[in-house]
Amino acid sequence: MSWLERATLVQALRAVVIYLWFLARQRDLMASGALAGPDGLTLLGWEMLLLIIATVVVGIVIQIIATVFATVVEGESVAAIEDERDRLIEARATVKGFGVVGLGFLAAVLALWQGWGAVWAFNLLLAGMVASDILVNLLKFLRYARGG
Amino acid sequence: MAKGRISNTIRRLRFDAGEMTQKDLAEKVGVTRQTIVAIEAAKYSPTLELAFQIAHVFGRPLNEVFMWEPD
Repeated sequence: MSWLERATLVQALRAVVIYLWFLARQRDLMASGALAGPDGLTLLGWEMLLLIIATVVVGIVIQIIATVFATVVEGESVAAIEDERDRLIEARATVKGFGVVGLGFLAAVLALWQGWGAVWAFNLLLAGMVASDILVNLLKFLRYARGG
Repeated sequence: MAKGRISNTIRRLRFDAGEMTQKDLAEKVGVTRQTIVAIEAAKYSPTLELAFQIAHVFGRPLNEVFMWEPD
């Protein structure tokens, strides 16, 4: 398995770690009552923005490190770093990931219907997206481990 | 659609081509070595375009490189 293929497992771990950090912050904010009321949604928006920035930045750093290892250690040419098999594996995993995002959206709608409030709805939506991110990377890793 | 399995003779063809390495073949057709490994092990079926490219590298017709066997 190449460094880039192994990196998919690290990407899944990245999503878990960053989301746990986000959840810990959410727990503290909820306990302090900072997420209550209209200002709570503004704060939640900022927190989610931080989560997205952290996810993207760390994801890019992991990809750069994996690419450097792939080219330097394995001697892969940069042009052949992603090929048709990678794209097929990515596409198959992404389709399943969309299903999880859909479940998160459904859970958010149900939460609103049950009167749980916007903070919970947004959190369920986000949880679906994070779960999808983790699932996509794990599926990619498993397919790479199997060979295709 | 009828189920089947695509096998190939790439390993033997590489041997006949002076022990061409998987990495060499991968570079000639523009894919990763891991993809060649997966194709050789019949774990991944290449696109028609890649299959033709691999056959072209060995100077053989497609049906001498890839074979379809019904289950």
